[in-house]
Amino acid sequence: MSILKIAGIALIATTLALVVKRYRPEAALQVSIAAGVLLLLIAVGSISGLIDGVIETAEAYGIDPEYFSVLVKTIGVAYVAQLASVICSDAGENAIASKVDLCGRLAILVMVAPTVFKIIDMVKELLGAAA
Amino acid sequence: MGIEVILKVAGIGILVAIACQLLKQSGRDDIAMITAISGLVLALMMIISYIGSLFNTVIEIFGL
Repeated sequence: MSILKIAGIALIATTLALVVKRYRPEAALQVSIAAGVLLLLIAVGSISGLIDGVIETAEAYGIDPEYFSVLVKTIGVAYVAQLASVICSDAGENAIASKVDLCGRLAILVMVAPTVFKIIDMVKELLGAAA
Repeated sequence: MGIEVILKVAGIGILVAIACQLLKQSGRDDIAMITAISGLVLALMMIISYIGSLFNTVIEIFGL
């Protein structure tokens, strides 16, 4: 989808949210949630083919695709966590937004941890082979 | 899909605002509050299926 359509959707949604916010702030939150979800759907749709291509290229060069999938999952978690966090802070709930941020970072840490342990093991092996 | 969901939710918001104003003017504050809450619930129900499809897409593409 072209960037013009995306910009147009975003501007229309912002205008509607502002109009509704004057009278019903809680309904304006719904408008901004709907706009955020729509734009995120467009973004995810436009890179889906790219991710498959990247993973195939990595396999062709002999890189274990598991590491790439960890990277891709990290991107997905970051997308969703940021969507929720920014919507919460726009509505004035900064405490909830910061907790969502924290949970996103912890989730990414948990996903990346096995890779880090593997790296430590590899380094130990290298040091063991060298010594 | 598309801009329709946003327009529907904004339309519900504006209708609820107008209805609340009218009801408050004619003195029926309690009905105004009920209308506001039911409008909110309606908008939320519309959005939840949308959010569900977003999360399914994200899970499918990112392999979470």
